[in-house]
Amino acid sequence: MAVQAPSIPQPRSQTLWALAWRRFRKHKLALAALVYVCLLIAVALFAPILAPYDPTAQPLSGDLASQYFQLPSAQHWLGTDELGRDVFSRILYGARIEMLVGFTAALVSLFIGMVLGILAGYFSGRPFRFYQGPLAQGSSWQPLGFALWRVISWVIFYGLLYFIADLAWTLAGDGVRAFLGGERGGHWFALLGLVVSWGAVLAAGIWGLFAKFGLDLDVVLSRFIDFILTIPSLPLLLVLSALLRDSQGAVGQWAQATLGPAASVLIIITVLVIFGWISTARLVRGAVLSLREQDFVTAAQALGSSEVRVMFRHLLPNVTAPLVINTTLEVGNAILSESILSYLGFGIQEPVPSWGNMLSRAQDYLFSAPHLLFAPGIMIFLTILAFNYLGDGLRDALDPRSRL
Amino acid sequence: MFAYTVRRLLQIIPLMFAASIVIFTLLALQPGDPTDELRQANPRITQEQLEALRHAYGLDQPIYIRYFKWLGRALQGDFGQSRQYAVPAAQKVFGERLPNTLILSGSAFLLALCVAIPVGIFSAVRQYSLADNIVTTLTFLGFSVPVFVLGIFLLYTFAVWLPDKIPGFPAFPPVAEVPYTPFSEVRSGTTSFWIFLRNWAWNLVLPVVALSLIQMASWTRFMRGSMLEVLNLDFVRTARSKGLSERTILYKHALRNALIPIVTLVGLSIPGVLAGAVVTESVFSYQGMGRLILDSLISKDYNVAMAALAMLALITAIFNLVADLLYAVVDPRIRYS
Repeated sequence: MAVQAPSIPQPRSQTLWALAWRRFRKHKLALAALVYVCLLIAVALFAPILAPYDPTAQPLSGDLASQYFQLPSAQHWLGTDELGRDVFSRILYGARIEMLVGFTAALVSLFIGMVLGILAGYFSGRPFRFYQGPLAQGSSWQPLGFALWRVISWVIFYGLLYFIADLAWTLAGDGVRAFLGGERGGHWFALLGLVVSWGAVLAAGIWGLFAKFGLDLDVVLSRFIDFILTIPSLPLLLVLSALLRDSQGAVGQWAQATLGPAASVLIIITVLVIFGWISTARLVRGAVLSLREQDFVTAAQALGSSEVRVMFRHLLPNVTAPLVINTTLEVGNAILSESILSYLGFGIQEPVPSWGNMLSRAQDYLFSAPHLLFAPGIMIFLTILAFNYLGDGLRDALDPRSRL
Repeated sequence: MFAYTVRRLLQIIPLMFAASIVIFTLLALQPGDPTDELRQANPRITQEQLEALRHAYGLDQPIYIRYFKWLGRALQGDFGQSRQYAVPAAQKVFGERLPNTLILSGSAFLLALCVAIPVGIFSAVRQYSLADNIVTTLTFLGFSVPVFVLGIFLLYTFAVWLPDKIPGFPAFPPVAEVPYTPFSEVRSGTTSFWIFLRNWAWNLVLPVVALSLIQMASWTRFMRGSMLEVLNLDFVRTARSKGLSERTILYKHALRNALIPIVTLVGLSIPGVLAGAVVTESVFSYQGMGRLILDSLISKDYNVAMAALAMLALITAIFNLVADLLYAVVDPRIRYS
């Protein structure tokens, strides 16, 4: 019980984030990683201003042979590649792609994993039905007949969701295109579009299967995750992105027609999200399963908070710390997966530069132009390293007990 | 324990069933079929001939019927014909490439274990010493090098740079296009067994090092952490106060307990090793299953891709089971029922 004692000076109270920042500052390498990541984001945002050349411009005049495979010089800081393009500019624009793919894939995965994890954890063992409005069975308000209303409501609901998803996907495509074209703010549209379109699809799934028929989301989700984890994911990523990007197929044609050169970027993000949300969902589900038994949840329920309020105002803030750490590591993972896929030829396609496909091209000239290897290789390594150190520092700062 | 093993083995069946449905559907949805290539190769082929071919391949049927036909034949060991190599897909995958992949990932696995466990113990025993700090930093670096970046730089260093700088430096094969002298030459007597073995090992060095590094780093980190945790427990203090030698305490009391979480981790990282093998094989053009999956996806050789992917899923499922069983062997407190 708090005893009133105004004469005693109270210790200065600190928020969680202030405490975390104090702990984070002690981890020098994580601090360096944070600076590096901020620089990288700045480079990604301002690449059109910083880059001395157009990353896709090839020399068309003069002595062409001497303009290919140039060693680093004052004009071309990192030399030129096999088509005479400036490697430094391509690295800068590559940073743009890496950051866009990494952050977008991680944030969309975070969003999906968080929602599914909370729902699965909170409603575990207690199938839920939201469908209890005026149109529910046994309700007295059925002016046009129950079946007809039901059909109409479904059509309206799914029609609306489809419309939203379609609009958002187009928006995402426009955003990525604008981003690639060097316009400002494109990444926000891309992110917003992806979140909304994926959210609409997800809402349709949850509504249709769980809220309507009262399935136990946790059972379905856990089985699904167990199943996914037994399949080797990299080959599956390859198969999926081959399916989506093949220009002969229906999906590929549609993607090429609606998105143009941005297609490979959006496809890679989608493929990464398909596997990326799983770790977040597992994390949140596990945490919520134990949190929901605690007294503060019972108290909130006893005070009459709605389920949604309990989930998002009471449970969610308690999983913020592990979520922040997980998402940071997830950005690094997404960049890693993207560069692997691009290296294998299933990711970002030429002429859009990404560090993965630059490295893949450079390997073809291992003997004749080894200097092309260093810039993309070192950038991939440093970036993954920075996100790992950042995640490590955040874990020390936010979750000191979990230290192994 | 026996009943548990049998039950888990039986659970693999529905799992493989579901996995094969997913993989088959994804592959069947891939655009383009083998008749496309025939049409490109021979522009005068008629529509009727194409239809007849599609009928002969069974491509005119719906996906689920094709799946059950495939399943029926696959259960009898017939995975169809490889269109790219003109041999049965089963022979290509199981006879030729699977052993190569198992050798590569198995060697990398052993190398990682042989380095990680001693180094982890050493680092834990000398916590916060200079050596420990170096090990910890190195593991963090190793953990962050993507396997293909490491592979390319190893190639550059040992196949291009060093042979260039140091005359007489034995160049590692930059591209293992023919991975080693085929064993048939040994059988026919043209090559001695030792030369075969030497070529073979020589080709394996760089891929194995590249593949093992990430696992090596993460296992060392875990081994160190797990050992440190155990060394702080009461029973270790009891053992010390009994006057046991440090050696007995470390290897007989602490190590066995510290190994328990490592066994799970090692089991769980087997899919990671296999996925890494896919990438490593492409970097070094090593003729294994991962390379085969990539090639067959590019050339639309779906019988081979299906057989290889199903095999990879089965290996993953089996090793997950092995990890769980090993867990019980290492930790006698665990009883499965």
